[in-house]
Amino acid sequence: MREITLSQAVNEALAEEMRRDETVFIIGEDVAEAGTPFKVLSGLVEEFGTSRVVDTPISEPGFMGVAVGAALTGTRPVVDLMFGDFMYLIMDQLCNQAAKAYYMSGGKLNVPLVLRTNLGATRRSAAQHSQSLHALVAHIPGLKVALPSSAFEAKGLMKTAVRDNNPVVIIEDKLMYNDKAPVPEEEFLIPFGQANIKREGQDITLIATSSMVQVCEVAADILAQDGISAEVIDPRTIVPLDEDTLLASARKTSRVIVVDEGHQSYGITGEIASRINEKAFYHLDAPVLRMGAMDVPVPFSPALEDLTVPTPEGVARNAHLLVAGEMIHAA
Amino acid sequence: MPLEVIMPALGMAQDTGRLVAWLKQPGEAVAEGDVLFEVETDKSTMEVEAPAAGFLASVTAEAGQDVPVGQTIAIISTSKPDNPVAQAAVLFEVAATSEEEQPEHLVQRPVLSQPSADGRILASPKARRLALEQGLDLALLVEAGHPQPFHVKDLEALKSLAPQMPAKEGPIGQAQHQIAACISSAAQHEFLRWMKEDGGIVIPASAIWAAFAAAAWRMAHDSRDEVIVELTSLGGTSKLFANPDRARLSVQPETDGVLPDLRLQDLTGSPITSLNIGPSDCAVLNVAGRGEELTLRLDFTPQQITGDAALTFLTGFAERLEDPLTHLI
Repeated sequence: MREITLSQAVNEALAEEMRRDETVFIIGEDVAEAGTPFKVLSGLVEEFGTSRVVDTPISEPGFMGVAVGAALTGTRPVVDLMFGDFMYLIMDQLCNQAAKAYYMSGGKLNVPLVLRTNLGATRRSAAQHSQSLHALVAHIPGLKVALPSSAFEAKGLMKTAVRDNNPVVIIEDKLMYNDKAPVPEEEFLIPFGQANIKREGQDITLIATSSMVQVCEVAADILAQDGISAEVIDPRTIVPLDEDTLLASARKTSRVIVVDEGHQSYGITGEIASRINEKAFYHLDAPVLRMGAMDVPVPFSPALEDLTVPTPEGVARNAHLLVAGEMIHAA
Repeated sequence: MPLEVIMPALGMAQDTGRLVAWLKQPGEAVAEGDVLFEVETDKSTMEVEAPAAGFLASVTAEAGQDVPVGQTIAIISTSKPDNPVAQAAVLFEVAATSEEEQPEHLVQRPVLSQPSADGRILASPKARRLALEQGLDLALLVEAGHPQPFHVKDLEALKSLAPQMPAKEGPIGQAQHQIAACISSAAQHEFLRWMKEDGGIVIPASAIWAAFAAAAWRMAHDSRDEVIVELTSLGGTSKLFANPDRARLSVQPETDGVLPDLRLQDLTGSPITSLNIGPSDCAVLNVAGRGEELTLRLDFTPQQITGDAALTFLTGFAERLEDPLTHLI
């Protein structure tokens, strides 16, 4: 199978959906001529013109509001938010308007909108351009949240997101834009709420989202050398969450680490760990461990920034402790 | 106030220091800044000064000894000591080497080999559940000094401790489970009356029970194996039947010398509705009641029959008793 970058995968998905459905359009800062700072959308304005690839002023609340209105009146906007950190600016449009329109109109109004943005630290972008804020939106009923972990997921999930009749937030890992993965040339969609077992194992389950899937796959390699068989599962969408697959794995291995790049406190890791505690308690032989990003603003200093996110070595170390029954109280 | 003098750390990676010589004798007065002793590290020999004025009251390391950094090697007192002490250092080699062996990233395992004051045993949820299901008593592991908390792998040690131990009573002993049901006895009476009037066959109700119990047991286990049912009554009689569901109701051959899968306790005609006076080697079905109602109660452990299967069994048995003809034909 041919290999393409995550950036190309997103570009292909949007191009295909825009060809398929003329109500799909892109709106955001620097999306047309510039093709975004990450060059994800390069070439789209040439094919679809500036009426369907719309450059806006630097005004996130403004263009997000325009997109919600456009969605309510029958189009399918794909909003490009340059950095996930800017989600703070569009909270009302996203969480109070888009997420609630269907409910508050008694089902008469839909907001078929996709918000495309990103997450991820260790790019030396400092505290206001390095956050992983998916927990903020996953908390809001009415929003679906997809976290692609490779080019394959990026394409399949994006196409599903565009076709969804309700708002979807899809958050890419900005460090992964140039990472290649096998992606079929023929059309495919990845349904929401279906986790992917990246690697089967018997001794411990590593549940990893987005950027942390790669981290956990390397951790599983390290563990395999030490004779520990780790299962790696990527939920792919955190809303809806494929609980069945996660619980089945937890029951099988009896030990779980949940790894996510959002801040650890009050985050995705805590939510998933809690569900496993509640629903697979009597199958657990060790406490379910959370590994998120450190609860600090992401430092600019490279030496410090690298310390704030989970690493393969850190995951493997904790896995060792859990399997040996030596994790009494997590640090 | 007496002041402890410790072996100082003179280098970044220094674990111990060799005491070369004491320059003051026990009992001697020292001024702050006086050279007190000499230490040899891997790089050089250094003089160490007294940290305060006073008297060298006790010296707890001898020249020539390698003393771990941080260990007290002398005490300086403010008043002149009556009996100044001098002795060799007691070296805790174990502490020094175990620290070296321990990779720095591993946290020290807090081993709790003693039960906590309130008698609570620390065990993982899965270990606790499996112990309960298998009738294993975690307290035995505590008595054996096995370090807590217990995990599933510790159950192997527990099994070797007590291979044939009968389960203890109580919350962490063998789990005794129960399912009870209440049905009408009208259909059974009607069936027995019909057998008698139409066919002239007189059989005890317990014959139907044995047949239905074997059939329901077989269904609950989805098995074609032999099913042995023991029929007991309050009067103390006991009979064993092999596959009573496959024999004719009027002629059920007795067997012996085999262990029953199920004991059927006939308590009808007495005010007693269930009887469980000690662990049983098989599941026990109590059939009790006078008049229009029959109460059924199954006592079992998960080793004898799983909860799901037990529920299927009792439901199947009750259904058969409430509609005997359909199930016999």
